[in-house]
Amino acid sequence: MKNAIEVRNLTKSFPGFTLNDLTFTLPEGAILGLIGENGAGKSTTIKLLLHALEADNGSAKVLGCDVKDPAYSAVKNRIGVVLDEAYFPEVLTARQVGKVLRHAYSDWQDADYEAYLNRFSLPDDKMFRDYSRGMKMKLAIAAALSHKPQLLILDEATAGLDPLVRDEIVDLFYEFTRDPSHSILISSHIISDLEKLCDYVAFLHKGNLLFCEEKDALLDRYCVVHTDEAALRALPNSAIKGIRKNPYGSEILLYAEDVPASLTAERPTLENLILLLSKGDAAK
Amino acid sequence: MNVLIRNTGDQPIYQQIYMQIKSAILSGELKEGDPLPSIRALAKDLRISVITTKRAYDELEKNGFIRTIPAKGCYVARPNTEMLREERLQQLEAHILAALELAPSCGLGAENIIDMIRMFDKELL
Amino acid sequence: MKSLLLKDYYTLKKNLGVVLLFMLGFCCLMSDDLVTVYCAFYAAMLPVTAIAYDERANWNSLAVSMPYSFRDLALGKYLLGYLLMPPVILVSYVAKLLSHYVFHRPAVSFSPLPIMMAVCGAAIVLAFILPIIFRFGSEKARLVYLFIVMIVAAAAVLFMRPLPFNVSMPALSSLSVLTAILAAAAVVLNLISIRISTAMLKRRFR
Repeated sequence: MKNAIEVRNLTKSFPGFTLNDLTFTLPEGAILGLIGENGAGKSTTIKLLLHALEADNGSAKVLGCDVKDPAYSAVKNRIGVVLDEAYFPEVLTARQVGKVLRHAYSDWQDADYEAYLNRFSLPDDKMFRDYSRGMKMKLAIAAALSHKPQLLILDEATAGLDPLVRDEIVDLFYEFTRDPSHSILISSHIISDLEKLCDYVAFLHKGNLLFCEEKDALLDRYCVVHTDEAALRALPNSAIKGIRKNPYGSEILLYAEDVPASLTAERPTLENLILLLSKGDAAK
Repeated sequence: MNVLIRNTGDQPIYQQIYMQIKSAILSGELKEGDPLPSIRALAKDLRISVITTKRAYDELEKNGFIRTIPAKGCYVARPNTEMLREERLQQLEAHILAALELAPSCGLGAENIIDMIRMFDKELL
Repeated sequence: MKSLLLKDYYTLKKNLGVVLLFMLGFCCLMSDDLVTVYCAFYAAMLPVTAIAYDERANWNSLAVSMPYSFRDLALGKYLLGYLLMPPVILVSYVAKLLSHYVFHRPAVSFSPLPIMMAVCGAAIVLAFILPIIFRFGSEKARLVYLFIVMIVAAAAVLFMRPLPFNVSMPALSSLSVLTAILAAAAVVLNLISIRISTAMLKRRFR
């Protein structure tokens, strides 16, 4: 199977922040969710993948092309990108945006763009600055999908949108991956958006990639138990992968095989897993 | 065929799909040769990940409930009578065990249960 | 490239109309070649305005995800500046015609040389200002621009003063030499400037 994204030992340092030795792959046809708190390095990763930033070390290949290769500029014709804001010039109308992008992308599809505008009921003669945030993001997504992309890269594209709009947008992602040659990299700090959508989950924490693996395998590996102080003390310290305490008991993350028979274990949700893992890190 | 995904359950989503398709096959709702939706179509319709869906299908195929014809799709496999029998036997045992667990609370023993079964059996005939 | 210019055209559309009208009015009132100089410099200012719009929308963060290179993004603004020059020349000629035939002002020079000089001068200013903008942003660069304009205007005044309206033959030949030098300088400086701007734009991103 081909890989849509291949990242090896990618490193980038800024004053006060380092994205450290990032290695992951996104197989073709899959959706990878990049999770992490604000400032964890998600946007830096995406900028490196778009070659808007130059890595200090390591390599990144997108759709089979090294991002440092001068040919990568042309490969971007097959990548649809949506950032946390739409970033279109304020005075442009949706129709003008379409005309500009028609000349920018080699495979621009007027009909597709038109169809998305209709589907989202976006007025095509209204200035971009007069759109609501939801409309702006829908326009950005319509633009990203209208040049026959094989890979979608989304950086916090659903942040700050109401649940109804998010739902409409997530629908588009499912439609997009109906084609097995289409892949998505989506970063978000809203984990519930990614819980069902993603095939793979990568968790960035303070510039380090804590894991990147198949979501189901990940959720199968861990268990959550709710228990009291006594039972907690009985557990070996090395078994505890994450913990959240309150005066009345604690919530502990364990590997499924480490759960003692005396305790009832629950399957974690992705959100709970991530929270407990990052708390475990804080406890160390 | 209905497939209902519960997000609250302790059961992983791939297992929910596996169980529901399996029971649709066992109950005869899905018959041999019936086509199943493609993995990507089902993933889209259920709004779940492709790999989750694929895992359910892989399990179904491994256990002989469905077969995949490359480039065509997935179909309900010829029922494996041995396995079907095994499956139903397990269900039967589960019911009998449940009956035996309930019996003492009504002041009945195993003998009484057997009598009851004979009685029902006659009525059915 | 076409898409970048089209985008700038859409963002500047309103400004463009106002500027052309303003230029025309200004030219009609004064009909001096010095006015052409001002107009050319005003046109050279428009790429700066376009960059300011880009910055406000944060356009470049999106543009780097599109099939553009940093060189495309830099070069686009130079091309915009060059493309604005023909309308400037056209407007100055129209203004001169109006000035002569409608307002009956005497002694209008139709020599193309002063206009060529103005255009070359504006192109040279463009070559100086754009790398600074790409490095520091349009806000700070505006001050630098004003400074440059003041110097160039002062220089222009010094050079233009001794030129009589009815240009005599020796003056004309020296003028054409000057124009040729200016044009050569404009080409060389712009070629260098585009390289520097590309590097500055990259640096600002990385």
